[in-house]
Amino acid sequence: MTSFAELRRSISRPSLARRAALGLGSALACSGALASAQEATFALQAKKVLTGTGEAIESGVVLVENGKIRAVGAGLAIPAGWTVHQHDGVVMPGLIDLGATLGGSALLENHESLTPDLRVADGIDLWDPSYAAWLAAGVTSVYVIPPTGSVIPGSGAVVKTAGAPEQRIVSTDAGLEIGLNSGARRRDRAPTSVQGSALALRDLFGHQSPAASVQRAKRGELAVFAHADSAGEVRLAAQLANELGWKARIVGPALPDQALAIVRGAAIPLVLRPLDYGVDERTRRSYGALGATAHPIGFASLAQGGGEPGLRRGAALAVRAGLDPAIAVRALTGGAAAMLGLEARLGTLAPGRDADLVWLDGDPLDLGTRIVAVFVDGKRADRGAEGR
Amino acid sequence: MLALFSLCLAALGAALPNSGIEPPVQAAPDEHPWLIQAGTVIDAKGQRFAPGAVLVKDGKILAVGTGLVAANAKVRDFGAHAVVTPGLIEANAEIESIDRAEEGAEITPRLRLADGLDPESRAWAGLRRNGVTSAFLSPGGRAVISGRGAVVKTMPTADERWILDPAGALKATMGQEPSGGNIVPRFGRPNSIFYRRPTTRMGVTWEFRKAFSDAQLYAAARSAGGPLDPDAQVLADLMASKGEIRMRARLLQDIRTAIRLAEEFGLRLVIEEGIESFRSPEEILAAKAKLIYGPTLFEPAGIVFGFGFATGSVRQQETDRNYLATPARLHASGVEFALGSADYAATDRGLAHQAAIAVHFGLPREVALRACTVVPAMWLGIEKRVGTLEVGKDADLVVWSGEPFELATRPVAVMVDGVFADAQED
Repeated sequence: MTSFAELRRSISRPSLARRAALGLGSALACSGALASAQEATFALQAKKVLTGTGEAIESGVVLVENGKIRAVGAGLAIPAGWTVHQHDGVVMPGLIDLGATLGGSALLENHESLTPDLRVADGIDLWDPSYAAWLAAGVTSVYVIPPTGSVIPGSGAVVKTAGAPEQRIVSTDAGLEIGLNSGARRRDRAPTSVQGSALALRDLFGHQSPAASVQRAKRGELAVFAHADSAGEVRLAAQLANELGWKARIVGPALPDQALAIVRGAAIPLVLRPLDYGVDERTRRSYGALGATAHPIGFASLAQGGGEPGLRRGAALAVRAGLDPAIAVRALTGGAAAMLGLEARLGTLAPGRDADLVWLDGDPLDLGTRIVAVFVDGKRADRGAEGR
Repeated sequence: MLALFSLCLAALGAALPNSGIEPPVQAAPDEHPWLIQAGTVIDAKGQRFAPGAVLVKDGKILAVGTGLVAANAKVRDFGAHAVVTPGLIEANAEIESIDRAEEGAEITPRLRLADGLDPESRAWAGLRRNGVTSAFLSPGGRAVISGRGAVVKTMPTADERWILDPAGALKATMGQEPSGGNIVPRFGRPNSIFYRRPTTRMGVTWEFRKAFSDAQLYAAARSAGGPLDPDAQVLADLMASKGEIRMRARLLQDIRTAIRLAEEFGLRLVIEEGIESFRSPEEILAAKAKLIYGPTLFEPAGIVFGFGFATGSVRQQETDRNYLATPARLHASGVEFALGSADYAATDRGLAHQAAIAVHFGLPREVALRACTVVPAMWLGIEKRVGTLEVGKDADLVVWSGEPFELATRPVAVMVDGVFADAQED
């Protein structure tokens, strides 16, 4: 009699193989040695290397040693005995999603509206299937946030989308989430209004709050991600940031150029929703009006899991609307890491950084470009790897 | 014309395809002054210039009068029928909708409406369509003491320049309105923040009196070294300084309650709405209360929220004793008042309409204009900047299609701080 486990294997194996055959066809064509790329020390020669800082190196070499990047450049000497991969395409740092509720509890702890002691790190399911979907889209790190829907839903953690479980959590407390958007307020729980939220936050930060996250945010050690949609909410976020000493980031302004006009002086970075098809013309233009801004921006899917992050598509559509392409790439990688205060580990291809790499067969902002392989900590992590 | 239009939009912080990402924080200094010409200019200080003109530069008034010339000025002539007045001042605009009011508690004296203002709100255009260039924004009546209002210009800027006073008068509401939505515990578990007092008119008064009398006890304890209570401190400070309390009171009984409570705690009283004030103007005179009257409506006024079993509606009328001639009658009784439109402020029943009704039913035209300009400017403490057309004051003005405060007259152009927002543009 066939056991349930065997039955499941017999069903899933062929489908996995089929998926591998479909997904990896092009990968194998451009790099014959890819299938053996499991060791965390190797040299990679690519047609183009995007470093995540906005820089592009033609015919670049990336040296990866024990899961970290040792060197990046054109015409680097490759140490003797190292495995060498050739990639006839683009290599870039793994993308960073600046806000998603992946594998966190789907339910908000919403008895009160201000719960700064809650940490999403205490409730993350690392085996949530969404991580695989994010990985497949080239995202290697996610800033996992508690479900929004409160004025302070808690603090968020940075999690890699693949790797050994004990190594996947990059930071247990990367930011304090604050909701000034309408979704954070409810009519049957105080505060019910924007001005009420302002008062509650001033009280919390003005008095001796025992919450460690509040104390760290006050000292500027913990970034504050303030969710705001309307110009009024953005205006308040900028005011509170100035008043309460937040190292603030404004998340999800509906019209980013207007948010920028308001926060310009305070140089508060903006975390944008990926632009999607079907948005109204005003919103689309507002993304485009960011143009070649030097103002720090990043992208957050703000997804609840399921589906896919849409980061690359969102950035591409923003570029089509007028955003500078180099800025868009930086926003997906190095810029995002800087917003999390993790630029020493993530987001760029530079010596000492984690070897989180995405191989693509073309420009990352070209919607027809495919992802060939994704590496996390120097190890091949995408589904294609299983098809060996 | 296109440049003019762009300037208006840029000042609003709106996105134009070619405006780039940085709308000017300060209105750019005018290279040329504006010369605004019309058949009549009324300065609200008692003078009418016909024909008249106003010369404006860098957001301020340079000259008002007849036969003004300025060699390098941009001229905008509105024609012989047009009348220019100072920008109107809405003394009582309640622009927040119900879902934007704070309902977390009944006594929230530290709340500031200014924190919740949205520069992108459609209310500003609605106010400008009524010829309003400055407004007192009053917190709604969902709480007994609902916090501080704000005084603003009606053309938001990307910076905070448009907010003239982020901490305006403290607002309280008498009558039945704050009790609307609160629930009496009868059965089951009280599982909502709305299981609370007040649920009646008496309860509203009780909450108000308790807050201030607790603040008196607190002040005594505090001066003896007691702990700080920031909410009570606001009320204690207000009493110590004999400050102003703005109380919404519609029925005569609520007006009387407001007068009694203000007296009891040594506060200067501003009565908002005062729909039944015509029934006893002498009491308002005796109390030396400032009255911000309105809205005047063709229908019963004063709305409380709740389910009316008879009508099945969620809106019930608090009073139908609402006479269109109230402003005229108040004036005849010697009561000085400002006009306010409450929650109609940003609609087509806003201040321009309110003043027109008042004039139509007997209020002298000059008095109506004062009630929308000079009087509220003084009461809001902004009379040095706005309220009249005078050299050196802010260039806030309205160009009307004809004699103002006629039902057929509309504002054709509104200027705030020297920037035109054509009324029809909105």
